[in-house]
Amino acid sequence: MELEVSSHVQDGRTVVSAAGEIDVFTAPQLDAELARATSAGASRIVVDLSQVDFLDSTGLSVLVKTLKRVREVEGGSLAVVVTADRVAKVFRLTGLDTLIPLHPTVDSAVAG
Amino acid sequence: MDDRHAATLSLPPAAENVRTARLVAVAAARRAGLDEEVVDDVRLAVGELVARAVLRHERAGVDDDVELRLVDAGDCFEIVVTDRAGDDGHLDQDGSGEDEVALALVRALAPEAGLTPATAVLRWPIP
Repeated sequence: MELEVSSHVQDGRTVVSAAGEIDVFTAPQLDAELARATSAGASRIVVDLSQVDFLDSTGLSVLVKTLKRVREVEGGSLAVVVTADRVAKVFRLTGLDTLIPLHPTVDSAVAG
Repeated sequence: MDDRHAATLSLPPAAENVRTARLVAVAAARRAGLDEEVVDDVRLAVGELVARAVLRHERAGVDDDVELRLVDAGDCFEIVVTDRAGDDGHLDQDGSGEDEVALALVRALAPEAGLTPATAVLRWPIP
């Protein structure tokens, strides 16, 4: 299956949205989109996973990589939108929810 | 009564096949009667282990299939993931810690886990 990935800018944040499942096969697509955004200078990033119903450790690795990149820039930030319980659980089990703020909507992530 | 049902899925070691393993494991877990929240745990744990096996095969340059065995043993649901990568399949030579995260996740998801380099066995009690 393919993952759908897109980006837009909202209130000074680059919102990278994904829809589908993020695993070892599809995570590179999310990685590529985030790399494109950060290479273009984006440093305040929201990753919208509200349409994602599965995420594994390869997906987490992509987010950790992005977190490291945005931290290199003053004022850089990363927030993630999660709606599926099973996706939130992966962040909780690994403790990544303490490093990356999770939000229920894009609006709250952008405002945060 | 012997209520043992077992199935084996043999998959070419490609990333796109990991989803197939997840789907089959979910179907087997539901059929065994696991609660839906536990089925989610099975989905993730099997996904992590099969992805890991695929990556190990890629690292070792091994084209053989990876194997997923699903067993309904009546009182417990067991999954076994086997790879043929051997010592050449050693991951995390870049020190990224990603393999450790995958294994830590698996241990958090399954009440019983026996993890060796080439074989991983996980068990969940059937209510």
